[in-house]
Amino acid sequence: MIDKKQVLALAKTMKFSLTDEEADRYSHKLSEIINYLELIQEVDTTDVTPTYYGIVGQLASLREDVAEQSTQSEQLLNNASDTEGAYVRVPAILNDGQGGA
Amino acid sequence: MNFETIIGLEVHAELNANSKMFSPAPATFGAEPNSNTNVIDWAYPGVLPTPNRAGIDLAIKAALALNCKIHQDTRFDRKNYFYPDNPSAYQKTQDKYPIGYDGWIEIEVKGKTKKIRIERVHLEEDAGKNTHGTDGYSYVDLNRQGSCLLEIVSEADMRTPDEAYAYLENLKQIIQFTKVSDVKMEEGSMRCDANISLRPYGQEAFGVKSELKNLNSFNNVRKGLNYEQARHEKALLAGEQLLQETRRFDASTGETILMRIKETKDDYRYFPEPDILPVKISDEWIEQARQSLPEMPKARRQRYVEQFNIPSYDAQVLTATVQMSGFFEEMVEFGADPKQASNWLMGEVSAYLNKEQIELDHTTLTPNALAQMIALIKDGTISSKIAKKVFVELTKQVVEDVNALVEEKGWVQLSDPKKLLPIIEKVLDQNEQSIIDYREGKDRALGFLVGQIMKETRGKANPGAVNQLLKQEIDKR
Repeated sequence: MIDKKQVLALAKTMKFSLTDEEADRYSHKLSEIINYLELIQEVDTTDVTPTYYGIVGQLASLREDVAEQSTQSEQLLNNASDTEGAYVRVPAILNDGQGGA
Repeated sequence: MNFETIIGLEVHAELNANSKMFSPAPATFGAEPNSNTNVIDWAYPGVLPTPNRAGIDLAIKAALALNCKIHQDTRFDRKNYFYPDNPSAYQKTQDKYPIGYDGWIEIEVKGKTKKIRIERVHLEEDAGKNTHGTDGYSYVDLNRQGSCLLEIVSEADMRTPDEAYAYLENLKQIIQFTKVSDVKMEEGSMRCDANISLRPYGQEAFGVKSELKNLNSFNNVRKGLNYEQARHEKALLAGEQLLQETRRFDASTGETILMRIKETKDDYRYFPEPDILPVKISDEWIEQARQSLPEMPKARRQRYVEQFNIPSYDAQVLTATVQMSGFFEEMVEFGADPKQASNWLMGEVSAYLNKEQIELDHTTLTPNALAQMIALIKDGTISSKIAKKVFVELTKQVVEDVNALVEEKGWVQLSDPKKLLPIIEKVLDQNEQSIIDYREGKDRALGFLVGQIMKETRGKANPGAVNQLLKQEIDKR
């Protein structure tokens, strides 16, 4: 069960603005999904190796450290919604310490 | 002080890889904005990030050097946040299974050594760079987006700002020796955030902490922590309720400024990165990484004292940076006397680097040339005074043959008695009064005569040879 308050909190984190009616709707829909997941949890998985990836034991293939200059970087920049010179231009970011690595 | 200070540090270090962590775009510094980017860095739909083997390898080396255990089944996770420096709106990082965990390093403060535990060493992608304009816009360069970044999180084991400073110095030194990162704070290849809180002595629970940002030098880390320590103490003594804050250090005032109050814990909604399968780090891989690690500063210091018989102070200074340490060892390999090599590196060379504000490996100085110069002093070809002139030449261009340089400049010391004797005779003939003075025990007279001979030879005479010959000749008269 996920109530309207939780939906609104999640929406805030994800920078969505929801109308009251939408919040009600998503609360209902998300609750349905969670209920369904609870149903799946009834399956006995005692001897099954857990995995996040669907395939047990498969590993990432790694790339050798060879730099490749993309031929598309100019196009990529041009696809940005707003640019100034070689930079992407965005509305001023408040220096409030949010985000960042 | 009625309170105990608790400090923990988060350090980010950019890894020295040619390409980015999950995309093959070049990871070079200083390129045209947004030119080192590809579809993966811009997070286009459907792109498939692939981990860089070198990034993982460098992280393993760093983790081992910091005495960490290795998660051999390591994984990547998504950390979700919105900021224009990362178009994907999440950072590929490591949450539950960081490459390294449970490590430690040793620090020394006021002669006391202390172990600072390292909670984790994990690999992640760096974000792009924002420039904040004054025109209501910010400007984004995604060249750095996706570069290999290491995060090193300490346990909250430090109790004073001085300990935090010592931790950073030691950490930097160790990482620098492993060569996995340049760890230069001024260039942003090393960054530090600090967490600080105070609690009454004896209390187990931590107090309310603040997180400090914009600490762009080790000194500023210490200053910022000192300021914060005093601010917390004052507030606690006044009975005020501290709030969990993120604060920015202002280097111009030495104060910290409130950026935001953290009312709730950041909700990054970590989950396993579905685009990247788990990575297996084999025993062989770890062993190879371990084998490739160079001798660490502490071991080098001990070896220098034992093997080269130099003072431990010298060994400390010489191992401060990996460049200096390598340069010293090469000089010794080229036959330089270790103590002389050390003297020159700690003296003229360090003074030169400080004055010019450059790194040793960006100069024209070579271990071979300096070793040759020291040999020329030792065999009397040049005086130590002339050597300083030679040194200046060595800082102007790479010199292969120092002896040829000295001869070309006419700086070879005059030691040959056959050449010196006629000059000595001439000076003695002209200064008979000085001979009498000397015989009457006036030592200054000898100095005067040596001075005259130096003048005649335009400073080229070997003072040792002159002294000896001069006394002989006076005795003969």
